[in-house]
Amino acid sequence: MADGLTLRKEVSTLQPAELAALRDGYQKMMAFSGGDNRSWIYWAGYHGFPNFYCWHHGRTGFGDQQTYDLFLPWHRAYLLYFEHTVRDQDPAASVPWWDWTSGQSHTSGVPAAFSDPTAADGSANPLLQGPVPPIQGDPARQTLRFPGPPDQLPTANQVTALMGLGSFVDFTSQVQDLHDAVHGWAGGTDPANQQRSGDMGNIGTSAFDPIFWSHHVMIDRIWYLWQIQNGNDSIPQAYLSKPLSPFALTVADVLDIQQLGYEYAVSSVSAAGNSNA
Amino acid sequence: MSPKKFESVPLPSPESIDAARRAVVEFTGVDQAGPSYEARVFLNNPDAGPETPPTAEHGYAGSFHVYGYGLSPEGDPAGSARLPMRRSLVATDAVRRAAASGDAATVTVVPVLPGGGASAPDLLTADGVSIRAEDDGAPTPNP
Amino acid sequence: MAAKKYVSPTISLDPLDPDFHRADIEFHGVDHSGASFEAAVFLNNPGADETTAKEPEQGYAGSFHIFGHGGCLGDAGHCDVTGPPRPYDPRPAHPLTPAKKVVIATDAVRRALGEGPDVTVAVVPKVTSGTGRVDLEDVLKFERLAIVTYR
Repeated sequence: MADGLTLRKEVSTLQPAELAALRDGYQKMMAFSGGDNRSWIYWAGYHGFPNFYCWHHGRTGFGDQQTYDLFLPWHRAYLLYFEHTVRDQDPAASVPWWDWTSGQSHTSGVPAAFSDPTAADGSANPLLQGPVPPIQGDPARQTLRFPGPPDQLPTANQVTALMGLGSFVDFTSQVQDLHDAVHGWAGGTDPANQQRSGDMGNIGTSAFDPIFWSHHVMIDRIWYLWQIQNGNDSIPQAYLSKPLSPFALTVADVLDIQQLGYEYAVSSVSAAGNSNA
Repeated sequence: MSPKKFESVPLPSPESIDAARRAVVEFTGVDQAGPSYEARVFLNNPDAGPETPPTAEHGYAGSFHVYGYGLSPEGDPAGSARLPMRRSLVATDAVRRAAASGDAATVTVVPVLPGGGASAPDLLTADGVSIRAEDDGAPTPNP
Repeated sequence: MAAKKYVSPTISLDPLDPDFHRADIEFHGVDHSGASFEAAVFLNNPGADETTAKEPEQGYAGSFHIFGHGGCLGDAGHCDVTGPPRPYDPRPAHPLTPAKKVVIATDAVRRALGEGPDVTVAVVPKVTSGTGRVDLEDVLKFERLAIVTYR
C-alpha cells in the first residue's frame, strides 16, 4: 500500500490470495521443529510456555515496587516481530484482525478462516489448530478449541465505551478485560470433560492457537483507535523507557504504528504534494 | 465451595457517586494461576449462583474475566508473573442502586467456566474488595 | 589434519600513506558458522603454518579469533543468511551475517614496508573448538582483506 506500509485487514475481508498467503506462512512455520527459531512453537513459546515473556494484569517489574501494565505495548511489539517472521516464509502475508464485535461473529462465532477444516485447495487448514510442544509430562499435540455461544462475545458498544476513557492505565485495564473474556470464550471448556479447556483460555498455551494472533491484532487495533481519540499523553512517564523484552523495543518505540510499518486504515489513497513544483 | 461472599462492604454515598464520574468495585489478591473464568459480581444478593440471571433485578453489577495461566504450580516457570492481581469493575448503576438503600452491601462473586454452565469451585481467590466512587481519569475540559 | 591456510596474491603497498600511526589488516565477510579457531596472520611468509613461531622475525602480524556457531542447529534453510532487511523490520540481522575482524598490525606493516613495495598475507587458522557437525579443515572463509593505515 502507499508509503510501503503493511495494511492489516479484518479476516473476513481478506481476498483469497491474501488468505492463502497467511495460511502458507503459518503452515511453513508449523512445519519447522520447535528448536528452530523460525518455527511456530518457538514464537508462540515467547508468550506463555516455556518463556512467559508476556505482560498481563498486575505484573511488577524492573526491580521497583511500582506495578506496570505493559500489556498493550508488549503485545504490539510481539505482533510486529511475529508478523515479520511470518513474512519471512511468505512475503505477501500479513496478520489480520478478528472483529469479534461484528454481526457475523455474533452470529457464527469463530470466523470460517479459522474453523474450516480445509483450505481452498483441500489441504488441511493451518489456521484451524497449531502444534503444542510437550509440557509438564503431556505429549506434543495440536491445540484445542471449545468456543462459547457467539452472542456472548463482547459487543461493539462495549468497545465504543472504552474510547471515552481518558487514562491510558484505565483504558488498559478495561480493554484487557474484554481481551480476557474473548480468550476464555474462544478456549472454552470441553463439554465432555469439564477438566479440559481449550488452549486459548490459558496464558500458558494460548499463543499456539492460530486465532490468538488475530485476536491480539484486534486488541492492538482498538488501542490504535483509542490513541487517535485520546493521544499518548496519559501514558505514565515511567513506562516510556521500559524495555519490551525480549524485543529490542521500548514502550516509546511502539506508540506510532506507522513508524512500525503498518496501518489499520480501511483504505487509503495518496497523492504527491507540491514541494517540488 | 460456594461463590465467594464479602459482607458489609462500605458503599460510597449517592452524592459522591453523582459528583464523580463512576463507581468501581475493586478486588485485590485475585489469583491468576489456574484456569480462566468469568467472575459475575452481584450486590446485595447473597444467594446468587451460576443460575442467577445476570440482570439488574438480581443485583448483577457486571463481570470481570480472569485469563489464567492454566498450568500446575509445580515447577512454575512464570514466577512473579503469576502473583495475585487487582481487578476492578465499573458498576456505577449497580452501586448507585445499592447506595440508595444502605451504606454497605454484600458483594457476591460467582465464578463461571468459559462457555457458561456449571460453577467452577475453588477457582476464585480474592482477599479483599472495596467499592468507591472515582473519576475515570478523563482530562478536565478546558474552561 | 591441519586446517587449510590462505595466502594472498602479491599486494602492492604503494598506495598506502607511509606516514601512519596505526595500520590495520581488516578481514571482511568472515564466516563464523563452523568451528572456533585462531587465525594467525603473517606478512611476507607464505610458507607459514601452524608450527611457525608467532614472532616478528617470522612476519607475524597478529591474530584474530572466531567464536563459531558449531554447525547448523535447525531445519533446512535455518542457516541461510537472508538479504537486506525489509523496510520497518526491527529484528537484528541474521546471526550468521558474516563478520568483520580487525587485526591491529602497525609494527608488522611498517616492517613489511621496509622490506619492499609488495607484501603477501598468509592466514593460518588453528581450530580451538569444533563439533561433529563442522568441517575442521576448511574453516577459514572470508570475502576480502584490506590493509588500512591511519594518520
